[in-house]
Amino acid sequence: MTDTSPDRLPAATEPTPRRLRLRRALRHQGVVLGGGLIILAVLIALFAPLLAPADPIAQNLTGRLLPPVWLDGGSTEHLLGTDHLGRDYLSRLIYGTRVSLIVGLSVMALSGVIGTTLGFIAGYFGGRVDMVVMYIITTRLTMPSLLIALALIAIIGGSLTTMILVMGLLFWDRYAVVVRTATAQIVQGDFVSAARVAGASAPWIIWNEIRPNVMHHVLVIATLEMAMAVLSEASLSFLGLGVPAPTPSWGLMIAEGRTFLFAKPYLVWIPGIAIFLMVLAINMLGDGLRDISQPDGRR
Amino acid sequence: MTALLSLSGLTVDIPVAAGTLHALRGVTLDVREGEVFAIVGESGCGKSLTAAAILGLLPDSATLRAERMTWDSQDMTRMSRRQRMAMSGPQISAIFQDPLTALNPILSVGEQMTEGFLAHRLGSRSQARARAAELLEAVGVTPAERRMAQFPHELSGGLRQRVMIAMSLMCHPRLVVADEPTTALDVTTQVEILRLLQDRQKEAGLSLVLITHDLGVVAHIADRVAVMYAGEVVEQGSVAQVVGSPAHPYTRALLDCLPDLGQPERKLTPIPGVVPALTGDLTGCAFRNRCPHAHAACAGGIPWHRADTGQGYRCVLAPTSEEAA
Amino acid sequence: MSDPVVLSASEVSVSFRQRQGLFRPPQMIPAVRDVSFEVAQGEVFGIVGESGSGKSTMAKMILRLLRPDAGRLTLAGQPMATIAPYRFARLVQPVFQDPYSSLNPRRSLREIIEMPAAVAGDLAPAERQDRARELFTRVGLPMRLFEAYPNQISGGQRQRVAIARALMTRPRVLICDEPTSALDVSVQAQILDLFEELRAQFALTYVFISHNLAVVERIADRVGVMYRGQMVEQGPAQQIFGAPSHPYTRMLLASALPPQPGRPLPVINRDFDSAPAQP
Repeated sequence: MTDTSPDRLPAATEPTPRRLRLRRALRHQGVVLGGGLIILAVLIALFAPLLAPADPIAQNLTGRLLPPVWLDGGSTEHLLGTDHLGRDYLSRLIYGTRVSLIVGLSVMALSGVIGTTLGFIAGYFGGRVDMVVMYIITTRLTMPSLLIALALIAIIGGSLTTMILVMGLLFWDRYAVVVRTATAQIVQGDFVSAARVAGASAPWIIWNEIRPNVMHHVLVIATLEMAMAVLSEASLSFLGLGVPAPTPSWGLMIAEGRTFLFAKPYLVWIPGIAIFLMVLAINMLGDGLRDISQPDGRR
Repeated sequence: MTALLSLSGLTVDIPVAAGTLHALRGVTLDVREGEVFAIVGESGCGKSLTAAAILGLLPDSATLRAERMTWDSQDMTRMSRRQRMAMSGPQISAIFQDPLTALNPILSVGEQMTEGFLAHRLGSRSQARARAAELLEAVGVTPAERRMAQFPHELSGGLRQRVMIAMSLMCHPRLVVADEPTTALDVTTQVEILRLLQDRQKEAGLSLVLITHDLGVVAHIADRVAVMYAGEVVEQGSVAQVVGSPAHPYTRALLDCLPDLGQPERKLTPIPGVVPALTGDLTGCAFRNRCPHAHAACAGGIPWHRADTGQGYRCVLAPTSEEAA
Repeated sequence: MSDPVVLSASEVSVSFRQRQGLFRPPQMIPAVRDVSFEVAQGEVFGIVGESGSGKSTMAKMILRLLRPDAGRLTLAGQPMATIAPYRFARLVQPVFQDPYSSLNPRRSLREIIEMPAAVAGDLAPAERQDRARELFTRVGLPMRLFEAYPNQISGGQRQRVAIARALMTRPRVLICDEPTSALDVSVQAQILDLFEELRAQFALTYVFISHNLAVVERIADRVGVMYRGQMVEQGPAQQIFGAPSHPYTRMLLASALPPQPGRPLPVINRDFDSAPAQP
């Protein structure tokens, strides 16, 4: 060959899949905005003792129901005012981020592990194993999850741990269904056969060959489930079945502020906005992750 | 000889992530009335896109430009979508590589065969069914009446392709474009389908544009052939000329690397390197990075040599410098 | 032939069950029926046949991806079913048809080639990478692609990666199931050359399955012809291609279309086949 100037290999133009996804992620508004808000919430939760101006459960019965700073009678001492027991509302809101995130992330992880494991097993082995797992999944799907969570917690008694366990043991169905379908398709690939011929065990193949190809599905479901768990925690706490009373939780704050809905509406809408923003951020991140994991990267 | 379909300087650009893909770069060819015209090349050379351009099936994002693109002397680039639609069926029809995806899975064979005929108002329902039955018998899908009640998934690959062929003939087209019609089939079935295609083409006197990667298929059923490489026609002429005494280095290289039954001792010469990316500016001969005869002039403008016999090719090598290979 | 037999099949059969609806009993469709052959060390045994002939099913059984219903398969003199997984992987490795589905899209080419050694865990990571690097260059890939991903390379390059992976365990036998059928002819010629070179260098034995008769004629020493699950004829390549005895083989050979202009299409004669050819 004397002249090789038009020799442009495809390798020069296509970036690695990992870098491609990162680049797409950083260009996607939803991922940047949603992810940014979640990172902010995590930082607030971690540094709550430093950020909160006061002890969130310290009562001050002489300074009850003080309005936030922008209303008449408000002061910079309590930026968001105080509640019916005189506790600093901003501090309660900041500490409430902890409960919300702990529940959201724990439920997401617990249900994620259960659901993806079942999905991998059903999809990989197929046949009778698949039939049994599908039976378990359908049984689970016939049960109204929130109602069962309510009933169980009402019997056992509410606490952070019971709430996480009950929801974590119930919310795995979507993971299982999606991972099962994806796995069943990937198992057909010749690269899985190559690993089998190499003597790889089923767990090895699932972990090393299949998992990297379904993680993007799992991530999207994880955000959905986390948003669901955050909302459920708020609902259960609102009903008095979630975290017990002095612990600051956004759902509990709404429940307690409800009595003063007409006189002091901000007691309800301040924690309401916190819940709204948290769920919105998680969903935006989830939608974004789904967009960037599309093979062609189209929105 | 009148050209039924005439393309000159056909260019198709498609926007992709890395810029603009110059998928077709000045394709020029004429398809005459009643001939089998083959377009041959390797994957990515633009042969299927040329078929899509003829059929009006380019993706929406693609931009098409042409110095000339005429059908029976009418300018195709000026036709409205409606006019193009009216052509597909009675003027031009298509046969695709994979009949399973090209056929509608929820319509019976009879229903989809008569659909176009009725849409173009070429006759009554009973006339449509009679024509469908007649064509199915002719392509060996028998008994036609029972087959018309069946659905595509109930037929074997060979039978499905026969149905596709029968369907493409329903509206008495003047040109059938067949895109890799036998690639998915077994070798024995391929021969039967090609014979069928050839018989129908001769009998109806229609023109056939055959898109294929297989020079063996070309040699057996085409009258004339265009060899494509990197979005261009690099050589064109009668099959006897192009396959029998190829002039362009790429055509020769393609024949040299094709294993031939009965000659296991003949040395195959693989073509080194890869096809250049068709994004960005491409100048000179696109084959020069893989060509054994490449030299400095190949980076400049490449002339189109045309012999008196009608054989033409795009190369800086003068027609006389052809080796006695 | 004096070379020892490395792979043998003796009256191997397998059927697939096809469901006939919820309440009817499943029907057993025979895919391979009583197939016997022997492959000597260092030879290339070609298997030709059309789709549905059972040649790929045969490959799956040799790779232990499918268990035969009946018959005996032996490898290096040992019944195949009794060989321990890692030892099996050092005897036999596959090269598949589809260069897209044969490489994990989320793994780098280095990881893909190292996979068989990573599974066995018999090499230190550095040693493993050295061997992968050596094979990477050996199959003709430029080192700058070593950490690239499958989506960044062409079909022919992917098939080279698959071949490098197959050589990672230093196997004695490669089972190649239509390894060049998805490639362009110019690339096919490159890969066939590579197979020839590797065969000599690594003293490999190939079972080479293809529907492309010209390719098999070129590479195989002996050939088996499969038709409807049975091996209807087998013998030295010259004999099968030069003087075929079974009518099916003759028909198959007649349907090849050489790139020589001026010949009419061959006549396909299915007379030997009493059963209806198509459903």
